Amino acid sequence: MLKMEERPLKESSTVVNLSTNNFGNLSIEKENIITFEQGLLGFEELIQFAIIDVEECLPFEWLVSVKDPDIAFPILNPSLFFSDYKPSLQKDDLVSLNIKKDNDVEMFCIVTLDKKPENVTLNLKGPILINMKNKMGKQIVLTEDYYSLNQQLIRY
Amino acid sequence: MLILTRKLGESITIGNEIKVILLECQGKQVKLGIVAPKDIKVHREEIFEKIQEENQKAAAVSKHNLIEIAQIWRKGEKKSTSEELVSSKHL
Repeated sequence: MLKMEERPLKESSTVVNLSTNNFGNLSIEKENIITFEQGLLGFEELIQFAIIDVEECLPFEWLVSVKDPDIAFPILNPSLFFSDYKPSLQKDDLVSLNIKKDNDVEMFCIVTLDKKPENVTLNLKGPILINMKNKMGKQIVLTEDYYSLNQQLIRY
Repeated sequence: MLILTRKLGESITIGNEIKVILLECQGKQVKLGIVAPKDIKVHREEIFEKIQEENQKAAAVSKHNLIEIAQIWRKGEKKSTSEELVSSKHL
């Protein structure tokens, strides 16, 4: 039998609470935390992330750092815009994330924009791979020359 | 660092499977050919720096701006996706 005061303790063992400027207070299920053993390029000290959906931002999502929740990267499933974006994945990437089946892996690209929000670009050269089964992620650098670091999303 | 002098057309080998060939030399530019197994990644070094810069820019994107972009995208999708969005053929 559980005593009332034991409940919050039990909750905190499966949930991490983050307080953020952009997204308010977030409760992240620990099982949904994604581990990037090598961090992201330039952010090697940030290992754990969570994907946050904000309704007004969809189809864009946010990759929020657990360690420093005020650091968040806008990400996008590139196939929504580029249906034939299917970069070849190298064996060592698949092995390091323990990816056994194509279905295990999801790919995201990081979104950047400069002062003009319509200058939104997608980094197709350095996509993020996540094994949704074991929640391991990695930012890889593609060897294909034809993928752009800042592919424009919207044309006027 | 090991420093080797090579003439045009000559090459060096690294381990048993990697070969670097000096193909062309024009002024300050050198063209290298690299033969390596498929699982060895070969990159121009500056690409890592550029991706770091892109990541830094991405981390500075505000929620407000992303909401604006999402709205533009939704409008575009309603009108005609093929007109407003860069199609994958332009990759």
